[in-house]
Amino acid sequence: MSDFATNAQQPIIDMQNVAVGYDGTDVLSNIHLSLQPGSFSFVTGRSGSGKTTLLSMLYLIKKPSKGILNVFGNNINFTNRQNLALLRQRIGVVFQDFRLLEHLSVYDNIALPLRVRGMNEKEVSRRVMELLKWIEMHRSVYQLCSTLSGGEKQRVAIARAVINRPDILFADEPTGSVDAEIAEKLMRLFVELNKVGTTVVIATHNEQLTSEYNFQRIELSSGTAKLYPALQKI
Amino acid sequence: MDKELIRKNEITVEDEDTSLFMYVLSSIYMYLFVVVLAMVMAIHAMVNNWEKDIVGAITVQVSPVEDANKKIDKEKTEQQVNKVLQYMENVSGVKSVHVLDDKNIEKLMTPWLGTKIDIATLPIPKLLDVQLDTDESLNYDEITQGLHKLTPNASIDNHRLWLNKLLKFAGSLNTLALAVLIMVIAICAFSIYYSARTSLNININSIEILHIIGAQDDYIARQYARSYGKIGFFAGVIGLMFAVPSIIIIGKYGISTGSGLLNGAGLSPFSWVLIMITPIFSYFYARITAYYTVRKSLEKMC
Repeated sequence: MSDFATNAQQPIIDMQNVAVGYDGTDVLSNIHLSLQPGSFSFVTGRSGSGKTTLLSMLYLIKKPSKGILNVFGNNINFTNRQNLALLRQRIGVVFQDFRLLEHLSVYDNIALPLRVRGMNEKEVSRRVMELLKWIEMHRSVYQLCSTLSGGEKQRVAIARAVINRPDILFADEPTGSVDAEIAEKLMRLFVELNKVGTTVVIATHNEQLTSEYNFQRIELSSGTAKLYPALQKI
Repeated sequence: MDKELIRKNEITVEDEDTSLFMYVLSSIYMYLFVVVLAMVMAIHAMVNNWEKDIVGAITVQVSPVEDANKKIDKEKTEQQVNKVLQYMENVSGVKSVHVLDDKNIEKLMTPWLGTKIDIATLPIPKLLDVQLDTDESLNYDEITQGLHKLTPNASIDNHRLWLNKLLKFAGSLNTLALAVLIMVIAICAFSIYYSARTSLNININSIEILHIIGAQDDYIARQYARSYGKIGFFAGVIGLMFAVPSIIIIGKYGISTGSGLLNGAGLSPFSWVLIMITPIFSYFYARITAYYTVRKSLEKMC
C-alpha cells in the first residue's frame, strides 16, 4: 500500500471515467471526480439517483464496472483483498439504517474497528470508554444494541465510524431519521471532525442542510455526477 | 477487565438454530470414529502379537518310529529326537532348542482329546520348540534337507502357512476399519463445510459490516474456527463418553468367547491415550476445516 499521508497534494479519492451499477447495468457512469484530503462534500440527488451506490463504491465494498478509481493513491482495480481491507480500515461509514450488530453490546459494536485492526484489549477499552463519554452513552456500555432507541443507535454508529480516527468519513443520509435538533448536533460533529483533518462525504437529499452548510456538492443526476464547488465568501 | 466487558464473537455459530444439529451429528460421528479407531488399534496389536509369538520360533516334529509290530519304538524315537536336537542347535540363527516333554504335549492336546486318554499310547510326534535369533537368516530348504538326511521322520513347521492366511484376514479387516475411519473423517469435513456455508449465508449482513470496517477474511474465518472448534471439542467429549463403555463391552465379549486368537487384541496404554485425546483432535480438525471453508467461501462471495 502506498504511503498516502506523505503526499498532501494527491487527491484522497480520484475517479476517471468511472461507472458503477448492479448486475451489469450501470447506475452511474462517466464520473470524473477528485476529492482533496480534508475536504467536506455533500452528495446530493433525488431518491434512486445512485447516492448509496456511489458511496458503497467509495467505501470500497463495490468495485467500479468501468474506469479508474484511486483511493489513497491505490488503484482499486489492482488492489488485492488484503490491501482492500487495510484501506477500509482508514475509512469510517455511518449508515442511514445504522447497521449495528444487534446481538452485541454497545461496547462491542464500538470496539469492532479497533479489534479488526488487532489492537490490544486494554487500549480498546480506553478508547471505547472515552468515546462512550463523548456520545453520552457511558451508562449503556453493556446494553445490547437491539434494545437501543433510534437516536442511541445513531450515536453508537457514529462512534463506531470515528473510533479508529479515519482519514475519510462517509455518512449516508445521517439526518434522515432524526429530528432537526439532533440533525443540527450531528452536522456540528461532522464539521468538528472535518476541522481536525478528516475528509467528510455526506450523502443527503435534505436541501435545507446543503444550503445551510456551504460545502462543495456532488450532484447526481441523469446517471452521472457533477461537482459544484462551495460558494466563495465575499 | 470488567467481567461484563468480556468479548463476544461477532459471529457465533453456536447461537444459530442449525448448531444443535451440528452438535448431535458431530457427536455421533465422533462416537463412530472412536470405536473404529479402537478397533484398528486392537487389530494392529493382535497382528503384532501373532507376529511376535510366531515369527521368532519354528517347530520341528519327529514322528514316532514304529517297530515290526507297528508299535512305537520309544528308544529309537528318542535317538532320532536327540540327533535332530543336536543338528538344530548347530544351525546358525537358532537361539535355543528344547524338546517338549509329554506333560506339555498333553496340555496342548487336551482341548482336542480331553483328559481321559493316555497320550503315551498314541502315535503323537515329538515336538522341538526352536527359538530363532532372526527369521531371515534361516534357509528352510537347507534345514529340511539336513533333517531328512538324519531321519525321514523329521519335518519342519515354520507356522507361516496358516499365519499368512490369518494375517491376510486381519489385514482385510484392518483395511475395512481404516476405510470406515477415513469415511467418518470425510463426512465430518463435508458436514462442517456445508454448515459453515449455511452460516455464512445466515450472517451475510454481519460479514458485510465486518468487511466494511476493514476486517480481513482471516479475522472472520478465525471467528468461525473458534465456534466450530468448540462444537468439535464438545462432540469429541460426548462421542468419547459413549464410545469408551462400548469399547470395554466389546473387549469383554471378545475375551469371554475364549478364543486364543483374540489374545493380544487388547488396547495398550498408548492406544488409550490416543482414544482419550480424540476431543483435542476433533477440536483442531473442526477448527481447521471451518477456517479454510470460510476463507475460500469469502473469496468467492465478495
